[in-house]
Amino acid sequence: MKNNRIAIITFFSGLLISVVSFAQQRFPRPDFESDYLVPSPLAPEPRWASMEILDVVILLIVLVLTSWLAIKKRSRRGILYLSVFALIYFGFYRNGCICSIGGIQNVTLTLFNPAYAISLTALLFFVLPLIFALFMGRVFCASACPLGAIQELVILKPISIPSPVRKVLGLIPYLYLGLSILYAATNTDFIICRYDPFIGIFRMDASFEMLILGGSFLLLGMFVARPYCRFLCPYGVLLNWMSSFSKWHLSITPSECVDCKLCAHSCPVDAINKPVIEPVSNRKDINKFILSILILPVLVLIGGYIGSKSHIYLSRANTTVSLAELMITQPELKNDPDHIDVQTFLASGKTMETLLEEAAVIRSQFYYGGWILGGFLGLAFGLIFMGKTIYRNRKDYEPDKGNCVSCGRCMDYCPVGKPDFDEIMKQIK
Amino acid sequence: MEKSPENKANKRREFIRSTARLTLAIGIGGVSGLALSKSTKEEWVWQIDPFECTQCGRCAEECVLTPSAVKCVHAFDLCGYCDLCGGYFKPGVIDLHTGAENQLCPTAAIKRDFIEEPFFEYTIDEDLCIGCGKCVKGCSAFGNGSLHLQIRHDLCLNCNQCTIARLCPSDAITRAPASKPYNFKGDFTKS
Amino acid sequence: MNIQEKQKTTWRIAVIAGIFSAIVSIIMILNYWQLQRSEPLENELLANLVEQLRKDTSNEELKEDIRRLDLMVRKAYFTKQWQIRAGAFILIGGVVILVISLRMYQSYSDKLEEPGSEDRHLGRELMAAQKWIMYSVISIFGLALIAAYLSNDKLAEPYSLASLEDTAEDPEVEEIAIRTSDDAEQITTESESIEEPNEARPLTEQQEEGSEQVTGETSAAESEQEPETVPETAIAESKTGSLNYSKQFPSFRGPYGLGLSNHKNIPVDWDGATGRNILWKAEIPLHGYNSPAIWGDRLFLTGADATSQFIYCYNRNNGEVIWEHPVNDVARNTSEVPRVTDDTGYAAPTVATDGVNVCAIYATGDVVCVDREGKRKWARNLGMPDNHYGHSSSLLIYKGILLIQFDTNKQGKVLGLDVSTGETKWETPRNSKISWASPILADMGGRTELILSTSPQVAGYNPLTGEELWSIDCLMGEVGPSPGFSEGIVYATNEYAVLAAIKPGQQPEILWETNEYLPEVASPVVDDGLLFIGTSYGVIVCYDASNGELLWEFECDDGIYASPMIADNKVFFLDMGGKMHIFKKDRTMTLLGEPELGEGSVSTPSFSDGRIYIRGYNFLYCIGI
Repeated sequence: MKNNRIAIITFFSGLLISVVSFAQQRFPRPDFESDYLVPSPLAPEPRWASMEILDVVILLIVLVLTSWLAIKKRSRRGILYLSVFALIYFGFYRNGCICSIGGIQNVTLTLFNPAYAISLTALLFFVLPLIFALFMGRVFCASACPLGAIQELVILKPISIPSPVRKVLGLIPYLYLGLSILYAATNTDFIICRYDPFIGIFRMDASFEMLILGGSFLLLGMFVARPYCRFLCPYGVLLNWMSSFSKWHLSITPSECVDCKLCAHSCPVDAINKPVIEPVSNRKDINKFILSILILPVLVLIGGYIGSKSHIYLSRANTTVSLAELMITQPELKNDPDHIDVQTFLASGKTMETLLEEAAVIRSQFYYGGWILGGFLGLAFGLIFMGKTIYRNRKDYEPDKGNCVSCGRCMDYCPVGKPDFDEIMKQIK
Repeated sequence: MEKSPENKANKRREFIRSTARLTLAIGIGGVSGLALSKSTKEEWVWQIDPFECTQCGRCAEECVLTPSAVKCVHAFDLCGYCDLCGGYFKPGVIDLHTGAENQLCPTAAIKRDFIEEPFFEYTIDEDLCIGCGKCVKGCSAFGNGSLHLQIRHDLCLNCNQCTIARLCPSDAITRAPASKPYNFKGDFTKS
Repeated sequence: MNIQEKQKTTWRIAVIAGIFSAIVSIIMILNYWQLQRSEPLENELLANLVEQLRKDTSNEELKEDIRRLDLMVRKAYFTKQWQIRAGAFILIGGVVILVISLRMYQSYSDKLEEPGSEDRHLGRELMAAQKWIMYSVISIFGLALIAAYLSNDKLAEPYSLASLEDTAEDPEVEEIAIRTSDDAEQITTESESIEEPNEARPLTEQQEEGSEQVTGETSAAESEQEPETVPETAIAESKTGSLNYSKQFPSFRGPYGLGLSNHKNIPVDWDGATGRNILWKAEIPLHGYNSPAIWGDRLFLTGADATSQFIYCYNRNNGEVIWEHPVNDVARNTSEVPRVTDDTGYAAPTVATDGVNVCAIYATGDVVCVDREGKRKWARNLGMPDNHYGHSSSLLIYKGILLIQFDTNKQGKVLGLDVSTGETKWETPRNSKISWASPILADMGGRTELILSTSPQVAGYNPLTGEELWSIDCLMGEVGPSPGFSEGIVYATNEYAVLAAIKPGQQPEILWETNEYLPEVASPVVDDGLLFIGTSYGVIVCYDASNGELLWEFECDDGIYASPMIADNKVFFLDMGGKMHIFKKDRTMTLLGEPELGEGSVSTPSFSDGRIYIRGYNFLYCIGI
């Protein structure tokens, strides 16, 4: 018996199993006879301690400048230079972290998690672009967003994507937005940050997969302009709402449109509405519109129901829930010394019961979150559908305020008001 | 002119747009007001609670930086200044010589200096340290636990969501106020 | 330079930059893969060399080799890091040049589109858009729904049973479990396991049978397989009535300290003198009046004298000591040794376990928690209890909280400690006198209460927060018996006081009282409307739990200190002489047997399937057929 004990002790020390000591000192602090002074550990200040305020100021300046360039000065070139600056400063210099897109999650976490309080700068980063979009359009996308800027700069030969495809792909951001809010609210993960394809490029350091993803987005971006902005960006959804009702959005032409269609071809993101002449009263369309209003609440309910049904697999992204499930489905894992999560859990002395209780609480959060998420998606999809049943007759080419990212290419192409306008007119004729 | 149907439609449209804009503005105002009521002037940084840390080694592998922004820190006032240091020497060390065959640290980032009989000082060369926590494990198991892992804020990019915080099996990494960015053992005691 | 030349030049630059970037990225990818695969810092060769050196410590040449290799490895690592960083910068530079030149090339070749006649009717496009939106919304929702139906709720699965059977049936897994935890044991008994080539049996049993075992080899191996493999999942079931928790014997008087055990096939016949039905008998090194607690294959108890304190872990199949853990290094604020009387001793409280942790308390006020393997998790001193006999209140663990009733002459209080860290989660002072009773947990229909008996009050607490829920004064004197509980009613008693049935609640009320026969030490046990009491002067009594009517009584030769236990529809009374009086749990008295242990005992017996474990004054007995 005695032998056993000794053997076990040596075995444990061999495994280096650590006993975390609570300031309990096995070895007393020595009394030095020499004049040795006990140093204290260095504590370098956080790298950007004072820079956060500067960031907000720069963001504000960039937004103001872009608005002025887009609406008053009508300078594509200025916007382009600003976007290069934003890419270098917010992207490569500040490594892409503090970012309005990710700010969605910080705001959500603040609202749902009593333990977290958003920092003022992060809140400003979230709010400022939205306020600007509400009045000036998506000037943030044009030049302040490093993700937008890097995609803007690689646009080579953008192809026009047919409207139905665009609309369908345009549903993804709503899904992404909903999921990211759900995961942030449940304190599970910040998926926007985690799957940001360009952050690895800004940092010049990331996991291999993410770098490949970023590279592919850039390659794709040469031919499909701004793929992330248009078909993924969750912040774009909010900006789209704001910008759709913006007060002073940029206009393509400074005065009369001459119907030259140059702008429509210049726009890389297909955000220019062409003139429409339809017979005004189409009974069928009106019926459809009314129908789509009527099915809206039904869609919300269906969406909510499906969302609530989905809470089980959605909640698996949560580490507590997935660990609890793992412990149940694969109890043999506790014998796997290399499974760090399971081993740490076992060593923590937390009981399985506590774990299950925690998991159940998170599950129920996901259940209610699922209802809200599904309901939101039902509403959003319904409204998008509704938007496609109505239209308005237009005489001129006009920017699609929601989707226009204010890059200013169309203004550059618009011949009206240019000195050599006449000459170009002649060419066209 | 004023009563032409087109003008009416335009007016109606403008009214709808203003209403929508107002609603959206109220929306932003509401959300940000709520957030503002809870917001702090303080920034957040990520930091490790050394009492929760189990030295699983993920800090070295998963940090977005290579090498990791997590480094080993030495709380000298907890150190026993042992000759046989569990953080410096491999377990079952043959002789207390600083040769590579005896050193636990894979990058030889720990410096061992003789102070006086029988005490030795151990300092970390953070340029070499990769934050693997092997020495921390050794020190906690055999010594006072004066070596511990901390996120170095001169290196840390302060990501919005810290990768190692998400992957930490013991949830030892949490947000800390930027005014108190370190949890050094010794000053920092478990509440 | 005309436009065409410019265009050509930019195209060339673009091509060169493109090829350059491609090459750099390929090199970087290769570099990355190499780093990923080889992990220079985890060099195996180096580890092997160090291993060799350990065997051949004086080999200077080998030492030199190791140092050289180590230097190389570290150099390689840092060079690779540097290469990757430099490569990233070069690549970015290449890509920037590529993009600029391509854009310039593009701008030189921009052609304006021919304005064609464009369709100014949206009709078709809108229809298509509507259709596609509809289809994709339906498919998104459809996919979500399918995924929802395909994903079943694993948290709701009856994991206790499922995981129990899974692992128990799989000898492979069992073997790994033993390897990782009991490696040392395996080495020491390897030779014996070869002697018994019974392949169907997992390794543990083979080893264990090799060592000292009195009788009953086969049943030992077969019936005891499951609990050993799943203690971690098993703790999950600390809920009332849940199968696995109640299969264990985790604390004083069984699960929740109620004196009830669900185990079946309990023997009623044995003889300590002849060894009949005594499976094994093991000497306990240090004395103590506490009782064994059992989880899985392990049995835990403590022993202490004035100078040392120990926790012992026995293999309950063969009585072998798996580990012993000394508790002599806990920092105390006094160097005094507590004064205890001989009939209480230094180790009267029984340990509590949840399968992962084993917690013990001693007369010194030392509380210690070790894991299943006897590795210390934490230890602290609660302050020397001012107790003229010696602290004797046993421990309970509930939902990760260690519950301690700490009533002393100075002050009465009840504490909840975090079982994994030892931190005080809550502490509630009590306006009470000293007591020697132990806490129990009671399931009050949906919530679990911690119930404590002392003088003068009986009180219920929330075990998670320590909040006092109710309290009623009804006892007096030096309270030894713990409360009993059944079907929402608390039964509190003490000698020279009263036996009271209390209906707890905001306004607790006493349903009935009697004072005919009252116990001094042994706690009452209640089940199926019957309340049993054993007095220190040797009378065993059965009351009707609903009205306090005395149903039957029985007189034995010795007094009763050990608390009665109910298991398998039988009531077990162990008297101080070591004779077990076994009755049918019934309104009329039926004596089923009076087997002798052959040694005196005041410890409460512990039960598991087909076995009884009794701690005598000196020996630990396992009784079974």
